[in-house]
Amino acid sequence: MTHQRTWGEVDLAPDDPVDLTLGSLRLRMKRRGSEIWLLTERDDRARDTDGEWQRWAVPEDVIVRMRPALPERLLVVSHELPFHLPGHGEADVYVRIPLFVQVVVSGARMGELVVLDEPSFVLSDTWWGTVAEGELAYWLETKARAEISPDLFVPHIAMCPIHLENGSDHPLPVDRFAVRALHLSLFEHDGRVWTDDVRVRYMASTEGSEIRFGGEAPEEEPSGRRLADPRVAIRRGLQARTFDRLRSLSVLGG
Amino acid sequence: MILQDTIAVAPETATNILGALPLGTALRAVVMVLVGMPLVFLASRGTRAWMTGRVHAQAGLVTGKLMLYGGLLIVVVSTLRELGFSLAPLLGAAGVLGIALGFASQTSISNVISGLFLIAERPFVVDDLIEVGGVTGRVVSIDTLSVQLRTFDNRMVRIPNETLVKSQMINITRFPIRRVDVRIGVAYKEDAARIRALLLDIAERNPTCLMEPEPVVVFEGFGESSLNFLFGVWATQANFLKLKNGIQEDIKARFDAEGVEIPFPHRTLYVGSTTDAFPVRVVGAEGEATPPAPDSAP
Repeated sequence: MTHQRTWGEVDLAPDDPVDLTLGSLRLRMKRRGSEIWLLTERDDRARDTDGEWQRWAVPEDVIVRMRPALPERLLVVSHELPFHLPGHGEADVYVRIPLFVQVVVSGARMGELVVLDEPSFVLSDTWWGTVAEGELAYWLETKARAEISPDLFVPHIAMCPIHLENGSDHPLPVDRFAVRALHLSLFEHDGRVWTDDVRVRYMASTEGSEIRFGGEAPEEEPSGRRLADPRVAIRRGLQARTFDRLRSLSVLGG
Repeated sequence: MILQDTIAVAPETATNILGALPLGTALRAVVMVLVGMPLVFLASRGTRAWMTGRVHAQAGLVTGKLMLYGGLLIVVVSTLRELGFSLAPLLGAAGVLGIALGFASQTSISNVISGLFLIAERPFVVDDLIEVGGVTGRVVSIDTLSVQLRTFDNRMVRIPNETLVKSQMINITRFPIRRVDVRIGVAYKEDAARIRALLLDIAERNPTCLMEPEPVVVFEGFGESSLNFLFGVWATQANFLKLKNGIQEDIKARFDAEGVEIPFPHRTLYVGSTTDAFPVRVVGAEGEATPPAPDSAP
């Protein structure tokens, strides 16, 4: 068994399996002949723990890397202490986002291939919208918070700094909001993983919010090196519903 | 004998007609058919694809078919005119024939008109899962006369458009999320508040159960043998069956682990007074002679 850093190149020698535990994901990798074998298991509520080896036949000179990725869906997060943001007021919040673990194989003759893309924690599904329309999202159990401390950083969870701005004349309740993580990059410095910063400007309940992504290491960690690009890159920001959510349904959802 | 004569004369007449045509006219008619038909098919396919991409699959199906039938009619009429057939008598005959056919094909016409209503109202589209008259299936096509459904056990069911307009139809996949309702009974000794908390925790631990809309637990009342609850959890259409199976397995496993009793029907019998104990006499105990069964006496 080999001990190594979490993200980056993996020294996958024949007959020397590599074991990693990230969140609830246990990953075992080994090289056998010209094949790479991968086994994932969970020790939490997830049901998809089949425990079967995935085998990939690849050239022998390939490089194997562990790469983090942000969830591929919208994230819905609630604030640990819900508050109201007055008209034209501003606030900073931090959201901890569990990362996906990608195993990437690359070589001169085959380019780059993602052979594994698994979440470090199984996230619950939720719905962002109304019962008639909306989009499938992940529910973050980690709460948004106003302050952070060093003990909150672990290699498989990224810290996302969000600057909220209420562009309307009315108070904005900040209870639950959406984070479009698939447009964010990842940066690392000294074992701490960050996303680029997000600026959300709330306009009005009918207009949605203007969202802008920094694209570079955040102010809190300016010397962070880029770990991963966004899943879906966008050049500029976008306008989308961020604060509106499924309002109180009647008991039976009607 | 007369029939034989007719059969013998018919090819001769046709040959005469064609033989009387100028070569140019005949060629033009042949070209019209050879060029017109493929053009109509191409236009029909093109319209269907364009409309499917721009509007929706149902509009593509209908406009494609309209284009096909309309185009074929134009090709046939044009070819006949080119061959020198006068259309006036044909139209007259068609009018008379139309009345006769109208009476004979009331059902078909009703289905065609119902189909138009279905297209305009759009209660479902191709690929929706619908339930009509006890049949549940995915809509494969919406045609002029009928709608084709593919059932879960892979059978094709043809439902006339008229039936769909007249009867109650449920579109199961119209909205992106659905609620799974589970009805649960627990023993009277259980604490209702604890059961509610357990059920909500079960929902929270199941990753396919949507956190919003929030799961609901409704205390439905006091049953004959149990306290009855309705447990409603939400799932996406794709995860509906997975959640329906998974959540019930979770409930059973969790109730077993927590010692929550799911009761079978109880019946309490009282004899005489509701307050007096039910009289029980032990027979066959140690040291006593077991009385003989009545039918075993000599």
